[in-house]
Amino acid sequence: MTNKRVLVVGDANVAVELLLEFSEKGYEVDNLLYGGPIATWDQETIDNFAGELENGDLSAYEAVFFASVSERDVQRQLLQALEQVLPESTLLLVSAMSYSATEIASWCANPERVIGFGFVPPIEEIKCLEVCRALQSSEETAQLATEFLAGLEREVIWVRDSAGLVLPRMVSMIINEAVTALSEGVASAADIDTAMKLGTNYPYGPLEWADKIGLDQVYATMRAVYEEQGEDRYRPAPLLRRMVLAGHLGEGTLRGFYEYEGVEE
Amino acid sequence: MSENKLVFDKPVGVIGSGTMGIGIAQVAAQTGYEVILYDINQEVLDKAMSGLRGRLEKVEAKGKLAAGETDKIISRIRTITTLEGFAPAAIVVEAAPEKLELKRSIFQQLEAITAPDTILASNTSSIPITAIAGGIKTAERVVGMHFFNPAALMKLVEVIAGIRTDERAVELTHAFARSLGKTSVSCKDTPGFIVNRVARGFYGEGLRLVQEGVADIETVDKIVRLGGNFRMGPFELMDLIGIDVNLAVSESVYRATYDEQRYRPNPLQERMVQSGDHGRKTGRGFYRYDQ
Repeated sequence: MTNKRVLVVGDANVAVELLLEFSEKGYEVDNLLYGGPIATWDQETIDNFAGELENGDLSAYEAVFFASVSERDVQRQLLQALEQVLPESTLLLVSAMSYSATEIASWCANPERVIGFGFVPPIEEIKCLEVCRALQSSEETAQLATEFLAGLEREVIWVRDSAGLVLPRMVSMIINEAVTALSEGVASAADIDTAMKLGTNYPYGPLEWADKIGLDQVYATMRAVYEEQGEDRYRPAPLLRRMVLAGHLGEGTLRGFYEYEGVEE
Repeated sequence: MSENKLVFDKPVGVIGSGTMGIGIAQVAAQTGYEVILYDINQEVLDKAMSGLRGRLEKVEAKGKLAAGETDKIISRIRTITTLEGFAPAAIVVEAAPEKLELKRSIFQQLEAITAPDTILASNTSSIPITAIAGGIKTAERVVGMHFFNPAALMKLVEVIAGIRTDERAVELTHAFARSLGKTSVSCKDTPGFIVNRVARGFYGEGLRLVQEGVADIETVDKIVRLGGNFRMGPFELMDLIGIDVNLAVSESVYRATYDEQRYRPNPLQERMVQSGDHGRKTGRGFYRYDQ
């Protein structure tokens, strides 16, 4: 058990997963999560979000986690609103799965307290967390992050900052390829998933995994890696983007590459 | 395993007694099919058969195979050194080396030797089924039947229809695969089929991440195992498969797609192949196994 107090902020499925996991592990956790589809962020919802932050007292939190799959401009506004009310020494852990930690830190007034993190859902099945220092991060921040994350009882593995880090980038690439094959009519979604599980012992088929991660997260990671690397190999599959635009994000919306109980037509 | 209903009462032919061929012969014989196994000379066949007997005897000694089952399985496999021996076969599965001209020549001969309704299947992983079938008149009975190594254990079979393959050949191949206790999936005749294509990113991104210095080899493998619940990381798996074999698959998919960037092979992998450190089989690869 721990008495550490943590706030989870953002609009990503991984933020919801973190929230549940912190609670499970005995952290005192609060959240400010935006539940609607990411495409619906507009100036009004951003202002409302900022207003809610201003009404809260953030001084008691040891760490704040920020995870968003939204575009750069939305993320920047949310973070700037957050930083206006967050004491400047509070540890700020940001998802490096949609932009690099360094880029996110570059939007911040106190970039030295920023650390990047990444993992691939479902969180209850994983045994490590990836973390990275932004180029601006201080040594002290890295130590604080290691201590803070110890309560999650998972190995904390430090890697170098890069959009998508190691596993989120790799898994997103595999999913992106599976989506491309699906859209080309190479095989059905079920056959692609079966083939990858039985032919190479993958823990999940790539398309059912995408439904668990959230297609918005997979798309955000591909977009970020594509932008950072500037290479055609990272181009997000058009079908992936269209499904995100349609709001077919996976298990969370009851509809992705598969349909789930409760879908209304 | 042998409780599955047989879909053919005539023999099953297998061409090639290498790793894949002998594995396919084994699983068919174990299911209860009469198997005809071809290779270019008797010496190669005898060696493959004695290897199979040795492996089966070990399994039998452990009690995982009923007493006397080894003899029964071996007795169901007849070896031949001329393709004419395939005349009575209901299906022939070709597992010869991955050379298009060789495969086309084999299929042309099979077309003349076998009955018109015999299914002609190829276990190729890198040559289009359409290219193999392009050399013969009855292309509608040519189909891809891609097993995974080791064929006796891996549950998956990819069934690939070439441009002219008909529904009957596809359906019978699925039924045959299921009778062997396999799970079969349908796939179009595209480079790498499903598995060898979708898996490219696993190796390719592993190599890129190391190349870019995001993490070292050991760290990438560890994150993939602990964070992703994969049984092995990409470098451990390349060492197991053979770094040379893995590079050959990457090169084949890359060329077959006219240099699609997603499949571009990595120079780091080529350096390993050039060094002679091909993985476990040479004692050294991304890791050392010789100490």
